[in-house]
Amino acid sequence: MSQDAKDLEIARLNAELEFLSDKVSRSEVIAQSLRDIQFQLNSSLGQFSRIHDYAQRAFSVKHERDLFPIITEGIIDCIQLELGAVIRVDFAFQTLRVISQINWDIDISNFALSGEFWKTTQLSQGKALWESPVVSAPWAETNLDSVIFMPFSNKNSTINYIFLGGISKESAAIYAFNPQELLPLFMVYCQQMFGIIDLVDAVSRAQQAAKARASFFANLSHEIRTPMNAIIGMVQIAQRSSDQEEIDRCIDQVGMSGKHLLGLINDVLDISKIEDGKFKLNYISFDLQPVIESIRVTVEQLAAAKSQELSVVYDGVESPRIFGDDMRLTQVLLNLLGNAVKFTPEKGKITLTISEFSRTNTTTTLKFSVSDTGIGIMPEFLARLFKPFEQADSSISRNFGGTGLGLAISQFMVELMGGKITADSTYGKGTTFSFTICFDLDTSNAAPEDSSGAISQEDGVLDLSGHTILIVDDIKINRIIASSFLRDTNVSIEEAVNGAEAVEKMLAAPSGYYTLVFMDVHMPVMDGCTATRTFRNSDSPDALTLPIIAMTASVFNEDIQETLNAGMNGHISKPVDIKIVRDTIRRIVQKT
Amino acid sequence: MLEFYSASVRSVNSERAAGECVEVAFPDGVPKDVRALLFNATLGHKLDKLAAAFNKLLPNVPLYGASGCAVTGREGIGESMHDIGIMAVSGPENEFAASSVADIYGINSYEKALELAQDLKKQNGNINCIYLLCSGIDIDNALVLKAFDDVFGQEVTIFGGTSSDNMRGVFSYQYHGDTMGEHDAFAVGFADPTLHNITRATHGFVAYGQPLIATKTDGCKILEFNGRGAWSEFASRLSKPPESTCGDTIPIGALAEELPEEHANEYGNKHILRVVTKREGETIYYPVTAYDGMKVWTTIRDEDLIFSEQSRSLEYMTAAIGSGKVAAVFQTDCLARGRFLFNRIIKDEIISMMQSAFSRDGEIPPWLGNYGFGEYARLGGINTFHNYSTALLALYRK
Repeated sequence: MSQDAKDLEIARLNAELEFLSDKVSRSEVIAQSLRDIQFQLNSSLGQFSRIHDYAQRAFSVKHERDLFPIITEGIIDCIQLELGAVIRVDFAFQTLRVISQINWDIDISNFALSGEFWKTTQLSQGKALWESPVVSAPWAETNLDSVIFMPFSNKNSTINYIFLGGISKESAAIYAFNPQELLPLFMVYCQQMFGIIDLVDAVSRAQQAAKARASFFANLSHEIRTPMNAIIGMVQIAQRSSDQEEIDRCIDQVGMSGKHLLGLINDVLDISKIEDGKFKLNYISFDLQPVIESIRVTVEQLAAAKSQELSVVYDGVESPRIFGDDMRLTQVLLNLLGNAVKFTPEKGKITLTISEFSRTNTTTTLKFSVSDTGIGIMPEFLARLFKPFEQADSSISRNFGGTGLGLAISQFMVELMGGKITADSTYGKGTTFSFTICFDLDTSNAAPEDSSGAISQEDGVLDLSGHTILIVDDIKINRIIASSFLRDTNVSIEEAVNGAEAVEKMLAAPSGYYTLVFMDVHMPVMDGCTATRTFRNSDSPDALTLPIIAMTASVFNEDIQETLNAGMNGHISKPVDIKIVRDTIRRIVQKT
Repeated sequence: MLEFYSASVRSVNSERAAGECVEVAFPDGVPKDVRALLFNATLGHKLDKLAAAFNKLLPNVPLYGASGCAVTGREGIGESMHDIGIMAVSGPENEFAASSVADIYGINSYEKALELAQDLKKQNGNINCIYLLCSGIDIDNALVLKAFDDVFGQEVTIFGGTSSDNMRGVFSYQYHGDTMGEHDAFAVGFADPTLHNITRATHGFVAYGQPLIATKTDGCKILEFNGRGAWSEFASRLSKPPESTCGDTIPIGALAEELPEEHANEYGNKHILRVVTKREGETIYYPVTAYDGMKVWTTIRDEDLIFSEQSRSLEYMTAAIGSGKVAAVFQTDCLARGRFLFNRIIKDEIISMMQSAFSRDGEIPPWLGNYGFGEYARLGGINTFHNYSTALLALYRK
């Protein structure tokens, strides 16, 4: 081979070597790209595994506040960012407050909540947002080069927290900020943690409720023992005393404590129904003004005893006929006005104002305000005013009485009626409670319904000569009390100690012999409902006409309904009120 | 007699990471005669913050730290941004010495390394092996080793390596004497007469194609390859555009220098590798002294070779150790052999292979590793600087 040919061959081989080398280097680039992809996949797997680990850690915490350091740490460890933070949105102060952070070298922990940022965040629709390089408020005032964040909304779609990950300017060269890779991972992480916050929140609320319940029963025990102590103590004093004045004073105290106890039990029953979700409103059509007037009459008596001035102001309101629960409206207003009387000194002023907030063709929204010139409420107590058994201090109960349940019940009832109750007070000057309720207007011409169970104020002479009443109760003292209530009426009283004996007596009696039967429900041998049902199904000529009134300590709606279903004609709750017993008899006698 | 204690953890909180490490490393309490604490950390931890945390836990114990792309310990490899590993040394004062130097660059590598080595020797003339940690960017490691050899003689083993970032070629940090630097170095000398040592480095790359010939050099800087701008020529050879960064080229840009035949046999490869961790315009910062006419080749990795050479290297070391007991293992790895080059399974396999080789009765000896830019290990009886390798030092007692 000639030298030229050799040189040519060498050149050809060199060219081929260069070509092959180029191919090798290109293949190495491709191989490295594949390794990079493999690395990314491995990293992602590792990161999801870390998210799982952090979720498990987060699950194990008991309080929301303990979650935030874990979440912050996870942002760094799972997402592999330099810094992480949990930021609370404070609407009251229009700021963002850093409540947990790692590696974020900042002097400030509060950022002003700019409108533009807020708009963008609210529109994020549950997605993570990012900015790199950071130029916008509020992050621009920090040392951040890149930021990724996601808002956490509660069930009311209110943004409570923002989870943030980022890279500082000084570390920007070390960290890779690739939004396409970061966003899905960050969102998965945040969603996991959002879910856990919800769960922890729910557990925490359940624990608080359990704690509140325990505290409620502790308070209840105290509240029951106080009047019981008075009752038992006064009875012992009366038993040992021969001084009639002292005995009378003891009896008055027993009566007052007994009424307080009854009020407490009624309130507790209301609270119990509220907590069980069994509290229901009974909507009827009624005229507003008579209801308010009835309340005014009741409260006026209390106010008069303290020389207070009670005003009822109808501010542009006539007397609309509306659909609502007049009993519960009355209960709320009596509670608020009763409190006003209690906490207002003698010669003070109490005002009930009813104004129309708005009106449509079919509805009217009424605002009820109860103002007083009383002692007012301390600001620190205003926040917990509506919690059960919350009174500003124990001296309140001692000095003014009350169960501490009234406002909690009132708040619930107002909310059940679709309203919201608020309190505004200046300590030492007075308080105003207000609530607004939207009522449907009754535009029909029908007469308003009679709200059953309304207590009559009438208690005149009752002559029951020639009438016989059967009192059925297994407890002797109950029979004695009922008989005693009617001692002055010349009525003839017969007794039965259980349902079976009552049935026997009713069946044996000639037609029209009994004017009325007061029937207890829970009794041995045969209960009151069975006895009533047995008698109603009998061949007695009075089977369908003899009035049978339940007289029982079973006072829930379903208990009352059960007595009515059994065929009874009415219901009187124990402890029985003499007025109610006599009013009931009077109505029946008048009808017959 | 020197004793060693190690631990490694992953934790984003520097204080907690330090606390956990100390707890794991000293299950029976911290001895009173701890001479130094060496720590390696990935970039999510700031070395000075870690040092402050260690200071609280181990007051008055000198601290020496380095940044890396990953760390290893008895617990395995940690490649997140928040892994740390420690190795503490306790024992008599006369069996230990440590020193550091600031502002070491390519241009003054010999002088600064000489200063460091002389200070170390002044403290203890009986030192028989030295853990050396230098900055990973702009440094002439050949001159650094020459300086140490000039002071201690070639028979004293130098091991360790250079610090790094996470393969971006931007930072590398060192911590010593209560300060954190980017161009500093520290050396820890052991003078325990009962301790023997053996080092070995290995890689698994194969050179191909025509060499790049350095046609213009200045110390450890290469200005031109083949008469053209060094960086463009280098990047072009890797099928990369000239605007590429060192971060882009490190995974595939191992440059191979030919070894003398006697060394090639021991090394299991005809070439020793070099990494480029810095460039300025067309100028490449080479990790050892460059010279005009120097030939370097581009390389590809050979997975089989990586495993077989690793295996051969471990066989050599364990044979030397024989029935001796390993007191501690220091591992320095090239960051490109970490997560950027191997997947997790392969890497775990390599680490497991190494650790089981030095284990006795299933117990892994105290272990500290760093994935940095370069490694020091002996080759052919000479202290040598390597890149893209796994370098191991086992300290053992017969």
